Amino acid sequence: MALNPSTMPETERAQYRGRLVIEGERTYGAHASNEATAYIEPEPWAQQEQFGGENGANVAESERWTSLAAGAIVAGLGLGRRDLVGMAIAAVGGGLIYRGATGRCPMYNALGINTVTGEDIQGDAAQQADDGFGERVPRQRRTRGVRVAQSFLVNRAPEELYAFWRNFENFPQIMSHVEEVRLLDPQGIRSHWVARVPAFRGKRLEWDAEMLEDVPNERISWLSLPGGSLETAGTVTFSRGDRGAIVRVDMRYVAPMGLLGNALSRLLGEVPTRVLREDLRNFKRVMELGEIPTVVGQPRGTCLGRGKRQES
Amino acid sequence: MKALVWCAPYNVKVENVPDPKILNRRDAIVRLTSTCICGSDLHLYDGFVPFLKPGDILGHEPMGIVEELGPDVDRGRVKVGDRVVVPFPIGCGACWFCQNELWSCCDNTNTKSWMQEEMFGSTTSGIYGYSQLMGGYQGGQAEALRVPFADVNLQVMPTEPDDHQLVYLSDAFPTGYMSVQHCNPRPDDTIAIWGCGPIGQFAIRSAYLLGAKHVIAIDDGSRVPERLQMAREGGATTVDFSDEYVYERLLDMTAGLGPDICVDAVGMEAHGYTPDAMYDKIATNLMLETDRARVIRQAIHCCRKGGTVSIIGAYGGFADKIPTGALMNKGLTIKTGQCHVHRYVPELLEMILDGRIDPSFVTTHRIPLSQAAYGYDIFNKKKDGAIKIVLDPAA
Repeated sequence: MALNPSTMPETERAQYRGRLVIEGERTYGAHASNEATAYIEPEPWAQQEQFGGENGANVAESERWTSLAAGAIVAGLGLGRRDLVGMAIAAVGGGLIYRGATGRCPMYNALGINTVTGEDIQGDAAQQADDGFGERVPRQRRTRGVRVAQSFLVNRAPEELYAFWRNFENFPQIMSHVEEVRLLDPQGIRSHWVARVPAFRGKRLEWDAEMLEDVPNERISWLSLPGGSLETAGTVTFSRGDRGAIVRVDMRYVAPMGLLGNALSRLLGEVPTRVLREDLRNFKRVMELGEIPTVVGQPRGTCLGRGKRQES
Repeated sequence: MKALVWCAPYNVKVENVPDPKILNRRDAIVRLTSTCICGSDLHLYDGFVPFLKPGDILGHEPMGIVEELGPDVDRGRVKVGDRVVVPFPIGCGACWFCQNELWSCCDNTNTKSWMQEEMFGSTTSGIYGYSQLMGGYQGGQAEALRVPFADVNLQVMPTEPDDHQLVYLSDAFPTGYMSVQHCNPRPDDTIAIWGCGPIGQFAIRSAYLLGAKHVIAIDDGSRVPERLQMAREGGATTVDFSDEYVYERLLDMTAGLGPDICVDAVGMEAHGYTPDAMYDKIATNLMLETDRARVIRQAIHCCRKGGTVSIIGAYGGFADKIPTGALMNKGLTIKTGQCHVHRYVPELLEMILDGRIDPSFVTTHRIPLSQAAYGYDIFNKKKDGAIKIVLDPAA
């Protein structure tokens, strides 16, 4: 089932308006694929937040609660010290409490970031892009969240790659963080995803996703539905290159807690490009080899008490 | 089982560890009969290679008998009871690199690819017992070894020649062979080889097998006279850099042109008596560089215009003061790489069976695996004439 906005009935198209962006593809050396790619935009946060932009607020609600809680802890720790350093720490905590209580962040203001409306400094409303429906949407939406795009050479036919990918229930095999994928309808248009993020101390994330585009053996596009703990949208393309099939993922996501969450996860070692590359590498391994090589469970020495007896 | 375990720099010990198990469906367990200490193991021994964890089992030059096969191993290629040599790079056989015989560049077998992509920009194959950066695989200085993708990695051997003729097919012989072969030598070429350790010795003999007439070998006669002696026995003219100026001697021997092919069979821990060697010593101690590139510098300096510099000694990080001016203006070609062992085993095995070479010439010691720590000590300090030490896991 190909979901193509140009062939869709008008009534159906309306619900996707502003969410699908078709863009000319860049070319990459010998492995260039000149096809245009489509990817779907996440819902602007403005539609999910009830107080978008009112009172000059520029911090999204979930992030405000985090800020408030963190501020209270930091202020408490600072006051407990009863010295000059403690005063300084308490002041930082106070700032976070103010930010949480009012929803106004001077730093975001200075940086031009607004997590209520989803604008950030790269967002330039003057730049316009075609949304695939012949209408212009502000380019700023396309810079929301973290965008990652990577491609891999896989020594298999594109048809085999598509077949594996199309069955979303295969994903826990290749994606390090995804624990479970359940199809919500027989065609797999909608699916339920469960992931755990080690960097967030094993925090459980759940969201529903909808497949917006399905061109057999070529392309699949997806979008997460409102109400989940992760926003994600993207496109995977499969093409035939001179040296084998090329799989390319172009996606974006907004981590829990918005921009703060994105920055935090990066600090904790969840570099988005690395995570995507490792997941795609696992996909390549499963396609080329049928399994992922491991060293978990092999013997090791103890050095008289130091180290472990087995690789984990 | 017994295995040689790395605990800290200059501190390795033989310990009892659990037996290896089948972990992937194409794994094999090989009961080892001979397993060597490689010169590159000394880079691990003295802590030159980061990313080792205490408890890592070292070794990557083993051979033995197949004891157990995973369910998906192609029985047409290898069977339980086969006598096998294990090439040190782990290939998968399915990726573009393996299919183009670039086995040590395999895309799939390094379990720590992200780490290598940060260091090198790309990932190379896993290597047994060669630190987390090379995939964290168990090493072969043990009684038994798990071999992934057994049907493409295990090289089945005939029953006849003894272990010492065959075990070097795992690394030293093909590595020495490739160091000259990938430079496409012509019969009138002069080939200069820096370093007369096991790789250098095999490079010398391989140069003659490849049709060369003039081979020059360079090493330190004040520390390792026995290695220069072995090089002379292999037919090479030797240069002792503790006593002679290498550049002057090489020019003198090549009608003032310099050698056509210069092979670095030394690697990251080169030493010497020149000012740049002293610079390297200080810079590595201050962590300003990780690799001592004296041999690469000298090889570039000495090489004939339009000639080829072959880097086969192991490097792992970053080096300073590479003479890019000489490299570029003299129009040199650089050939490098961890050996693509699988590619060379069939032709080298045929040479051994034909009697054109007996690789056992390089063996100076065969000691029980339980004495492996002693083996590392004498090999590192160049004591007791140690050139190549084979460990016997059964003794």
